[in-house]
Amino acid sequence: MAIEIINVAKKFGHVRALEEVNLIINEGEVFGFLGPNGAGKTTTIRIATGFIRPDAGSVRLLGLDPWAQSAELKGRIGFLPDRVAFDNGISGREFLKYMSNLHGQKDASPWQQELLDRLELSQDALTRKVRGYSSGMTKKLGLVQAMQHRPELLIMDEPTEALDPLVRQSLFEIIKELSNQGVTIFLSSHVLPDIQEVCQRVSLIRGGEIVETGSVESLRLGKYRTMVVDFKKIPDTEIILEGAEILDMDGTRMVIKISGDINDVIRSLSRYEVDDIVYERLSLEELFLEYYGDID
Amino acid sequence: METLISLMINVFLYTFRRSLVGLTAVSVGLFLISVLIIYTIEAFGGIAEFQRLFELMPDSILALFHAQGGFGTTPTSYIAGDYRHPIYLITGFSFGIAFASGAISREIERGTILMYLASPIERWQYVLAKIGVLVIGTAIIAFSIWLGSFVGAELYGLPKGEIDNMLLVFAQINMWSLMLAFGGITLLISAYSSDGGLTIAWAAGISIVMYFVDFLSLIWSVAEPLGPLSLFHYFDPVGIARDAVFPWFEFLILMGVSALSMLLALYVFQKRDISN
Repeated sequence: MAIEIINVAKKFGHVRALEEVNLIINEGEVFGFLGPNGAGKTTTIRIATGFIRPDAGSVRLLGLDPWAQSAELKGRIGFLPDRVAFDNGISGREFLKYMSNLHGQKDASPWQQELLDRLELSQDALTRKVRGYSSGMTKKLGLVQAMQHRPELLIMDEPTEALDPLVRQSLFEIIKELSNQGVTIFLSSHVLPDIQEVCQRVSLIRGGEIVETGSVESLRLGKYRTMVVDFKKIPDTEIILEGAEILDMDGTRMVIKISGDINDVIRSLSRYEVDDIVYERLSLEELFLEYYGDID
Repeated sequence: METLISLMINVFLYTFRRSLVGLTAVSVGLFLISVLIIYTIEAFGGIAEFQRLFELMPDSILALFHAQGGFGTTPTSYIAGDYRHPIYLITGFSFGIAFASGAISREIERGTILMYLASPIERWQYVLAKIGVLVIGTAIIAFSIWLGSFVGAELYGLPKGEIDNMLLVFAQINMWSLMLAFGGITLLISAYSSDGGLTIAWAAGISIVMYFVDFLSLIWSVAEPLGPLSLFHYFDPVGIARDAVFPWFEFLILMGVSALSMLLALYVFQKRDISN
């Protein structure tokens, strides 16, 4: 296992931040951690990276305890915090050099240059002071520092925030390549299409508790889907459906919410003269709304 | 082990480079003040006139310089006495307090610590490298003050026999140990806190209270037992110049406070959550 988080709980004063959080992430897997702000994503990540000590439970990354074996572990992981921050007056190049020195590397590697090129961070930009960087450039610099020492495990908190679509796509390609090379990637986000694009499995967290874990496909199963049914004419009799609930009826058009077996619904519909059916697969966004829709 | 030492050296060099502007400004400023102070002897009409003026002063003024036991009649005493001038204390200590605050709590506040500690360095090693900069930085400030006195005496043309440079070195070692002690206390507050401004406020507040307690203990017999609780009690450049001895007791107390507070800071920072 690359990451094992077992029954982890954490309180800050009287505020419960995490409650029995369990996550198992396999080596080489790209795992998404999804949840709204304040759900516990960053706390979980800080615990996994040894910045916060859990009140209960156990955490192992690459077989090491992030609190007790922090230095040993951090030599093998790359970390992008939610807030990328630098010292005032430092240039991008100075920052990368310092970070690379802290990982025991003396010189810039070809891999660092490749990352800079692919994330579109120019040499000219690197010579400038980071104080003048846009939020997108700041994020790119943070991403390069997290990956430049070729970690076995990459932990990224909101990696795509502030990136433009092209760079975002480049990042996804890098993530997929790293995963193919056996690097484990754990990323948190509240940008659903990003998670959908790269992650093999996801966990949804809400109020400090994991509410669901699985592949995006498996999470869709058992959740409601919507179907739009167009009848040839308004049915003469009352429509009775098994495994579905009518959300809207407007003339010959009916919108239904399917929560059970779709075969039951099809059998029920066969009793009426149907003109067309539009059936959409549940998107991660709809799934997200189902879990978090009641949160202000 | 070699790698860990090399990582600590990296942190030390990086931090030192980043502190260089502030450190240079403080050191040059205090060097120039130390040069100028030699010339103020002229304003009093010479050391003998200054001594007569001092004898007329009330105890409360003498207490500011820790000079109730006599001021001494040499230029060395005059210069050493000035080392208790607030401009030295405020400017000299501002480096230690600002640096120690920036070393931990301001880094947590800004979020830079999350990037730096995501590398294979232990927290205590990271802070130890910063302590190295604090020790060297305060030593450079103390040396600049001494150098200013030395250069000022040469420029002013004080007769060679009238100034004892070794006693001024002792006085600066005393001042360095005091700066380190306050730096250590600030580092301890910094290790607890996640707010750089609050850390500076606490450290400055403690320094002011200690200065006041020291002063009060010298002019009010009721407050006298409180004197040893203040770190300023152990800063006595006038006594060093007057008695011509190295203040071992004061030095050991101040270094003990420095070492203890720094060790506690390492321990606290090693154990705390970095959660903001």
